[in-house]
Amino acid sequence: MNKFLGTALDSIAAVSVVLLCLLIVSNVISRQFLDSGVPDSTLLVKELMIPTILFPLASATANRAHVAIDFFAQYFPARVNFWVAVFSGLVGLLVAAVLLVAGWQELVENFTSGAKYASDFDLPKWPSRAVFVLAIIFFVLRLGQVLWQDLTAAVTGIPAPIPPSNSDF
Amino acid sequence: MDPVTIGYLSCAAVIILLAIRVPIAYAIGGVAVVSIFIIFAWRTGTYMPARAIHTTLSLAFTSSFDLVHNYDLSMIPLFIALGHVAYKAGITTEIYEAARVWLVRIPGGVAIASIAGCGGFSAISGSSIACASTMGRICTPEMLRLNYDPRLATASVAAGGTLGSLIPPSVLFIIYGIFTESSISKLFLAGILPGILSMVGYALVVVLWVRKSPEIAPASTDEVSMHDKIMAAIRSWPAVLLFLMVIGGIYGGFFTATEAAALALLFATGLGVARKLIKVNEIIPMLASTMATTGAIFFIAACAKIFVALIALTGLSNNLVGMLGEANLAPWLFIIMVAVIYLVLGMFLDPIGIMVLTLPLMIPMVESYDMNLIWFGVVIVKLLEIGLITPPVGLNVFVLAGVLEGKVEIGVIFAGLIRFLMMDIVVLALLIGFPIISTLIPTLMR
Repeated sequence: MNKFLGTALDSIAAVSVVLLCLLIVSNVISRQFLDSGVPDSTLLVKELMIPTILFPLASATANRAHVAIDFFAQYFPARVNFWVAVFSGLVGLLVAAVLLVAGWQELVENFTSGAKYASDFDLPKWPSRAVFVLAIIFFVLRLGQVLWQDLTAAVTGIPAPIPPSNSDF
Repeated sequence: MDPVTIGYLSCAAVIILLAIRVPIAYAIGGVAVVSIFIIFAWRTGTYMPARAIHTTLSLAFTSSFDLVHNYDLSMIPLFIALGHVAYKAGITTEIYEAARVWLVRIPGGVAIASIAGCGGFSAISGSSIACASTMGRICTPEMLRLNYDPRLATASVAAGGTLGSLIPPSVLFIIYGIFTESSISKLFLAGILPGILSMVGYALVVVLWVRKSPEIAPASTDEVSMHDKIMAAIRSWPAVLLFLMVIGGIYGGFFTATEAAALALLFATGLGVARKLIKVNEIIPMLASTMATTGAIFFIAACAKIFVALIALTGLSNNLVGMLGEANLAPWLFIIMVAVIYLVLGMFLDPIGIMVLTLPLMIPMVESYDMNLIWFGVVIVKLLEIGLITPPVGLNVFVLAGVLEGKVEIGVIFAGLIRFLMMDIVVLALLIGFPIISTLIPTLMR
């Protein structure tokens, strides 16, 4: 289930990349041959950037792909490193919680006010906020799961499982 | 406590968190939200948490959302995906093969070809780590098969991989451009000559090294006819076309860097499908495998944006600029100081982390000296490149060692890199001493 969800979120991000790529190319072609770009293409690309970037955060977290400096920590005793991992998770959770609450407030505000972009199609602002909140919810869930693994490792002294990396890119 | 002091304490807290292995994004994001809350909570002299919470949330959302909700930054997922697609579509292998067949009979020729291959891959992808990882799979096993010394077989690729950041397109240039509000197109063009200079410098290292110790690179006995050489050169047309599309398009003013990224990705994918190396139903899973990297990079940048908001609130940059003014430091001394700071940071931190952490403090100081931000960007990226191959945390070295699955020890790779690092220092000195190397092409831009 976890793997499926991670793959699904990454796939949605990949679909968003394809869409924004096609949108940008269509805009270039349209500008070249029709003397006018695709309406709202810049805004749509910006909107697609939210799922492109934020949905993979959950799998990046599950894969422990967030960059950290190992140099000094490698000299710490294993037990200390277990608790540092727990502390890291808590710090991450603080950041994620702030973004989640902030995103939720923005979503509610934009939804209730019916705020729109000043664009050709008067697109509403709330969908991108909703995607932002959804992505951060998945991120928080994954972070909670990783934190639980690290906490278990810290208490039992048995290292948390290391997820296989699926990409070098 | 005054905001400037909070600013200094925040920087110290970030350093401590990073040192104990808290991920960069969490460290800078966590410190930023706590510090912003503290500043607003005590702003009026009395503790007012309710107002501070609202302002902190608002600042955190605006900073991170606006960074992601950005048209120009869509280049990053596009160029990262392009690197992967180019590999799958066989374009990367063709670049290396074209260089290899022409140089294979020369002593050290395959190492030079690997460096040239890295340069070629760099011209279609924006990541040094992707470059080292991809070329490490293709070139290093070939050199080991030809009995090249493992130091040369690995170091040439690890060093060549750093070209990914300097030769456009480059993720580092994109992030630098966003954080300094500089033209990304001009930064791309500014990286061309320094990238070529670095590439030639690395090739020179191989030539001199092999001349001194011929046994490290036995000449290949493989027979390659002129027909094979010409065919290999012709087969590398997609890479040439991609480079021309990206750079020619930007330079000629036909399209922006973002548009170039999208066109190049579409072309490379289409070519892969036409060659039956990529199946249509594989495109989404293939792109999905690059998404976690993109997400992790952006999360660092998004948290850094919150940190930038904190720095602006505290007035730390102005304080540092004031101190710099009082110190009356000569510009050349300032640049040397910057180089030392970045070289030391590069030994421990990853390039994107260094960039997003230091730029908010560094750029106001650079502007106070009236220095060219495009040139400064090239110098910074070169310094960060050096950090990718310096011990103890040379990311390219670890990536390459991982790709080779333990066939070559990390210590051996670092030993081989000493000569390349010396050349990097020479190139860096040239870039600092002769800014025209970086500024020539952007100034000729339409």
